[in-house]
Amino acid sequence: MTLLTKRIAAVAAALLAAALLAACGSSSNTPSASSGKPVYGGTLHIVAASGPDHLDTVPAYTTYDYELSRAYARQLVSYPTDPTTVLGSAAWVKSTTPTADVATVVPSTSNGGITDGGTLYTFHIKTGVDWDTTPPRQVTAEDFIRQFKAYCNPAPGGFVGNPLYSESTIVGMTAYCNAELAYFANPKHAATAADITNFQNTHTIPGLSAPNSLTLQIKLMHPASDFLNIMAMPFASARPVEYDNYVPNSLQLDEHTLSDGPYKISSYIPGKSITLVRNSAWKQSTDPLRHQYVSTIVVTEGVTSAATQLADMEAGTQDIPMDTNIDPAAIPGLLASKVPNFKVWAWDDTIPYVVFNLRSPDAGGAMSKLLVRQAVEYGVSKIAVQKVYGGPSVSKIINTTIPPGNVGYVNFNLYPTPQNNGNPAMCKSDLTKAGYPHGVTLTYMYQNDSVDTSAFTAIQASLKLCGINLIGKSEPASSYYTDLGNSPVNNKPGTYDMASGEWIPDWFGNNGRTIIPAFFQTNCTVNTVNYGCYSSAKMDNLINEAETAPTVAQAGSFWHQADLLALQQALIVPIQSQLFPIYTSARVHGGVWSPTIGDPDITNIWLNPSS
Amino acid sequence: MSIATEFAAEAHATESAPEQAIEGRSQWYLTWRRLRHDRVAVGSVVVILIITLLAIAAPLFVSLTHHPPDSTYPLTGTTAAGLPVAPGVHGFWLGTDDVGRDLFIRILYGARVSLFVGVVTTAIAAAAGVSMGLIAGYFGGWVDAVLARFIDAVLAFPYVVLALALAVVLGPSLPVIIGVISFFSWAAISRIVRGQTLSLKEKEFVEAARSLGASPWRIMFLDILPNLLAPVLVLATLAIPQAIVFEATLSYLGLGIQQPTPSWGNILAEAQNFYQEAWWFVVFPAAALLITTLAFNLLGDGIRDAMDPRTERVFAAGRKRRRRGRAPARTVAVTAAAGGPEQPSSAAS
Repeated sequence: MTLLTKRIAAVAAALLAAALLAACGSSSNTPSASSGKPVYGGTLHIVAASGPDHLDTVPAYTTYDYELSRAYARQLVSYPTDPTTVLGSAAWVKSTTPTADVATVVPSTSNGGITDGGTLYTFHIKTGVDWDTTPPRQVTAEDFIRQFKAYCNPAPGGFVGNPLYSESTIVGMTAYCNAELAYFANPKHAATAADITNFQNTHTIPGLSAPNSLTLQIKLMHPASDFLNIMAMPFASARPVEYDNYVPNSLQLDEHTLSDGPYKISSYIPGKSITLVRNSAWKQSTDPLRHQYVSTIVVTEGVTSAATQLADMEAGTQDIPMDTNIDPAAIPGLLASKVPNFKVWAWDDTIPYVVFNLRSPDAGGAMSKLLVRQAVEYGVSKIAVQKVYGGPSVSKIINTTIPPGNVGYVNFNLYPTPQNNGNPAMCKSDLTKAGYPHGVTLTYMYQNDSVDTSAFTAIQASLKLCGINLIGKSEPASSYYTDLGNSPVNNKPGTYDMASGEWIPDWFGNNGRTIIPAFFQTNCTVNTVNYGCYSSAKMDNLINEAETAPTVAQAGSFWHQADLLALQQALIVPIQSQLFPIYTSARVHGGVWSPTIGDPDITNIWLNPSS
Repeated sequence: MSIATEFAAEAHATESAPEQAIEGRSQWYLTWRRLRHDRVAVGSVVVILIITLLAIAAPLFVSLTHHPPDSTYPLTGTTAAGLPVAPGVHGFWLGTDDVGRDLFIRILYGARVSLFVGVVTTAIAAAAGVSMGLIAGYFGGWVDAVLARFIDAVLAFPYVVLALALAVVLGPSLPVIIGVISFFSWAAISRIVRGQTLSLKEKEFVEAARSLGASPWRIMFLDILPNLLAPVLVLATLAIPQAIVFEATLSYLGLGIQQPTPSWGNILAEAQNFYQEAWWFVVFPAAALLITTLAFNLLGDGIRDAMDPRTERVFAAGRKRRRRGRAPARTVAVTAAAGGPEQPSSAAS
């Protein structure tokens, strides 16, 4: 036997032995310490694969960005944390309803905060909310206006989270952004920090005004029943004047962040670690939503294996996860073990769904044909995908774009199949009618992690039964959504025909704006979420009607009509809505889950024992 | 008795010995005779034959179980929580994989891929290695210098890293896998063949062929090559499991055979997250890989020992002891021209 084959034989033998031992073994989870009065002190260890994408809150748009920015960036209104496993429960409603954060009160018509027929919002800022400058400096209304202006980041490659919410509501926002982008589109105007600041300081957004340093007024184009949710997004955080020294979303800015929250970043080593310590400028009396329970927060990046992360948390060397979902294979065992530090929390999303590239010219433009898309709707085995994600204990199958529990949701299913296992006969029938009696070969793009790969395998196997042959095209997570939303090139042959997508609403309840427009509003641009580049005047009208509807109920009706239209046109295949299973170390207590963050709330976690 | 009388008596005895007791036997016959008495080698052959037959018969098992290799069975092939079902449940003899496919059928189809890759890459590597080695060894001079350095360069490559890079650049597919494995397998064979050729080209039979006007190509491939088949056979037998493992390694890393085509490597890659919940998902494909590579390696060792009795293995020692009580063989073997000097079988017993 050669050295190589001896080694491989040894590895194979070791695998066999390990598997047999595991088969005979049992879980060794540590029981959690009992909950009780919060304990102060200790270091919270967060384990991550790659960590936050952005520290600047303008481009920050992932759950792990939000997990960290919760500690150092505050908004006028925000969400309390009250972890719950029951969707729609009192705790769920509490966790998803904006309450006052930097603002003294939540504006309403009764307290005079919302006037002019629902188009003028007035926020009063608490005194004592300070930046961690020397000496500490009061957060002002101008700090919030500065953030809105930064939405229109003109720097090359500049990334902005989602400016559409403010552009579709605030008077003059779109015009301001267009003017700034046009100015810096001129090659003579370099998008340096000084020039960007100069433009921002010499131009105004008509809808934003500061009658005094502690009062912010926002004028809307029309009433928007979800505007407080928009203001609770981390995009609407305060932005200190010191940030004018840096290009938005730059490494220089990330290395010089300031905090008005309970923690501040003391060390940032990209790709390796982030350390946060208590912010002495923060006062508990000004912040009912956050706490300073732990002394230090350390994010360790580079641990890419979900199994390793789980083992680290079981051993207590790490406390909570950041950007890596728990391995679905581990879920049944953890559920059976009933350890208190593993729970499946309530959540409401569309993860995953199948999107069609409507402009793909492949296979005779198959994706542009309604019958082909409807064939796929019938052919996909949703239960097979659900089981890949861990089964019904961690997800529920959905048949609508709007997941249950959100405004506009109506339970309908245009493409029912027995036991949600697909209907190959209907699929084949539609495919034949579409002109593909001998089947069709399509390219399917997916992320190359183990769960997405298995989900693709399940979809591929179910569609093969009716003659749809999928050729897999896997991509790393780092480039996946960039390529998926790269609309200028996605109308070329060989890019992709179908792909897996994931969508988490930016808020819950009255959130039609965060779902239907993202998916289907005409927006065929770079970084679009309307990956298929669907464009329809009828859909756009319905979205406009819903966004300007005076009541939530009326808005809901329009959202439902839009949802129905999307499924009639078979624009996506909704598959399931995921709950959120989290395992933490046994000493973690408190805010282990916030649905609006989509991760633990590190400002409400306490450790027992703390050392 | 005088010395002259003794010689006369021996001469008489030799003349009166039965003529049929003296046989001419080829090296191949002697190799086969030794090999068939090596129970480990014979067992390995049986194992390889069984695995090969199972691989060939995979479609028959599909028709028997009605479980095509890439069909998923979400309702019966996985538990409610999405875990693979255990062996014997719902007609899945060896259980299922993570998406509810029949593990037994996939292992059988994986064997097809593994054996195909192993045999084809070894054949390519042997053909290329023998040709290059013969040319380098026979022509010598600058031809040898260039080819020998090229062989050294290939052998010096960190081949796993380079194979991964090639698989990434060229894209994972069966032809790429076969090409990559073949490229890194021929050099070892070539180096052995070159060394043997350098020695053989100085032999009298080569000199004779050359004096009769035979062309270099005729001498290389008709006179020298038959004398190299023994070491090439041993090397080729040992190269097959290496190729199988190489393919499994690339597939395990996601750069080999791609889903839904099954290979032992990509099955093991999928199984790694399930070793605690579904032992069968890891154990059966790992066992298939282990048994197959072990069988080829033991067979290669057996062939080598059979061709060169000076290298005896530990397993063979038991056989020798058991044969000690038997009567000495009366035959005297005459070694065929192709092999080296052969020991009389009586001396071996």
